[in-house]
Amino acid sequence: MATTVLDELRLPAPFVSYQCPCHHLDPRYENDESGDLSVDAVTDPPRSADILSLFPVARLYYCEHCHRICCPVCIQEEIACYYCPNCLFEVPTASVKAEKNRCGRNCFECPVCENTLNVVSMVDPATPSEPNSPTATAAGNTHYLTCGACRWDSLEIGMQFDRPTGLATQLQPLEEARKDVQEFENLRQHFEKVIKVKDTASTGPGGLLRGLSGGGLNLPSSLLATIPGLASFASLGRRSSTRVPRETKLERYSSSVEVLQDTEADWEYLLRSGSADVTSLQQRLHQPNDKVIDKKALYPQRIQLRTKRLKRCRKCEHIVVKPEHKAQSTRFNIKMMAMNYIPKITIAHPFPQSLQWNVASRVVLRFTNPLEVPVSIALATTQSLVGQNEGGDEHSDMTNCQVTLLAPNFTIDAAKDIWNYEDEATSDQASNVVGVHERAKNFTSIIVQVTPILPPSSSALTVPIQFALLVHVRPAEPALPALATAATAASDVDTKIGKRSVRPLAFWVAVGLGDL
Amino acid sequence: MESALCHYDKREYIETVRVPWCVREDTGNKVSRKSVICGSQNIVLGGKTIIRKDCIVRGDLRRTGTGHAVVVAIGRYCFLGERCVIRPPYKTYKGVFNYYPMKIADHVVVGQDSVVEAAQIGSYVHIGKNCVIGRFAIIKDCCRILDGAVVPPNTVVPSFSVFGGNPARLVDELPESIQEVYETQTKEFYYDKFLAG
Ligand SMILES: [Zn+2]
Ligand SMILES: [Zn+2]
Ligand SMILES: [Zn+2]
Ligand SMILES: [Zn+2]
Repeated sequence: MATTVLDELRLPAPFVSYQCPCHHLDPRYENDESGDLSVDAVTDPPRSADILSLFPVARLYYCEHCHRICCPVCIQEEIACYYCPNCLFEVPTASVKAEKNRCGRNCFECPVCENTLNVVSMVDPATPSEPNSPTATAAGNTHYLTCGACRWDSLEIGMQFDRPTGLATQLQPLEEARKDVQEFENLRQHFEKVIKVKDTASTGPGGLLRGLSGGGLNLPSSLLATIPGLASFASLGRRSSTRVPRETKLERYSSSVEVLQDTEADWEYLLRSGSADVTSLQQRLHQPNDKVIDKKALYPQRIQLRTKRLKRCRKCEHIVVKPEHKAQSTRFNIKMMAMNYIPKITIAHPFPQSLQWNVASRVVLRFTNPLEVPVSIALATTQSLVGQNEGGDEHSDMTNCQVTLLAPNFTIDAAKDIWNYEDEATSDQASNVVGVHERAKNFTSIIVQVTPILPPSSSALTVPIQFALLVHVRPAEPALPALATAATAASDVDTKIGKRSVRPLAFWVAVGLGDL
Repeated sequence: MESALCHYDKREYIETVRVPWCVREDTGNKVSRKSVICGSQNIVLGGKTIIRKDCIVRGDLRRTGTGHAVVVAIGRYCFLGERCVIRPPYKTYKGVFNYYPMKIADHVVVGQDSVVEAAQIGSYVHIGKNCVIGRFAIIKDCCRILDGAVVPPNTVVPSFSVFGGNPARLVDELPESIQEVYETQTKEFYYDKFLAG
């Protein structure tokens, strides 16, 4: 499932989103063995078209090996385990394929509304049977599936069960007798033979997911050659040129069962009877074998399995996320989120009352340090970088306001356990520094003057007000006086240094303030 | 963006102090006097939980026949938004109509105007505004229910899911960091954002 549909990613205003360095990387950086992405590699601000390369900090990972931020686009995933999202039972990898990636127990999806179906008994309708409890009181009782959301039930299509458990097994012979399922099965077997003919060494270790992200087409060329539209790619598929002639001549595939096709008469009937009995596109797509058009032909599907996935940095293949193997566990053996390595930037209180064109507003940005060492921050805007960025196309720049940083350089104190803050007086004297709004605990908030500039020709009714900010993070130099007091106040800081060392890091963030 | 500051009238809220018979530290609950709490002897609040005005919590809907029992158990740092309804689920089992207890774990946020009849809500769960969580729904840890979602009865929402729509279904997965994100959010709201006066 694509992790890009969440509403956070539709960038509701106001937002602060981080740009992953992978966005800027062209191949010459990808092959750069030094792996130093710290400062020089990041010079281009996010452009207005880059909205999909911007992520909230919670979605980003951090590779400790390459010292870089990774986003959901530049990690590679491996399936750690399969489980049913309804009964939460883990499905062994070996049986996933045989069960066609669906739950082999009692979990079915409503063919009309995709809700999970319940099993109910016929004899005593006032007694909904529990799938797990022994309710087989009366022999000869029949059970059926019913939807709690749209009231569809399996009796509509004449589907009923003798026992309330093991429904998938009870349905299996019925399912296997379907012509479309048989045809699919035959096709699968045919292509498996094709793959076996010559495909011993081409797919290396790692599954399809890893193979795909490694670049290059990983399908065996023999398979590609048999697919009409893809035959021309067959030579591309193999990176090595060891083309072995086919040992066995494969027979052409011919259907052994006749799958019913829609006839003119069917269409005519549907046109006459109106759309009431016609399935929606969404419903059709959930019937994988035959894309039925008549609503009466819809049948409940077993629920699709979900996966827990291991995530690796794509550059060095080191693991950044490793979930615990148990399906129901929410813990992780390895979890390296960017949140724990780079400062969190939020738009803090007091929020600007209202934005106006060509009128300066005060925005408070709060930088929170997750590290146990103080860090110093240097900020830059697109305007202050104009000298370096000659030839930048102004229209593609996402920034549409004049931004003045009153405090482009400041430090944030180290993060400590919550009870260690008590004995420290909140450093009010620090707020005397121009542009620093507040400095306490492990955060510093700064004041940014933002003046939205009305674009000369704008047809849109509302324009999102946003600007880009380049953030440099460095370990704070101990010479700073403000830091010295902080360091003495907490004696245990030194012991924690080195646990997560600070490497200089630079990244762009996009700050959105809302529509105007 | 951080959530906005929320100022409340100190006179409107009852703040619980340590209850003598309770071993657990369950102080710091803030319950609006303008909320409707029925059968409060059957309700357990874990501490640092905020119940806003016009909420309805039905602790009185308990299983018939049994003696004192916890009907609604709510954990620590849970926030019930304005006008939301917490009602234990019911069903007729073997011909007998009964209510069943509801358990809500820690760091759970229920948006305003939502109706919850779930059997179980795990920790680090955010339920949006105007949601309906159907009877006996089970929401596991680390989940998000989008605004306006209708979770049908008996639905299981597995961890790291985002459910939305009517009927609610999986629309996205949450990042691995969500536990920390939600924990920080609820703590920050309790200490820094929900201010008296
Ligand atoms: Zn990336
Ligand atoms: Zn299942
Ligand atoms: Zn349905
Ligand atoms: Zn790496």
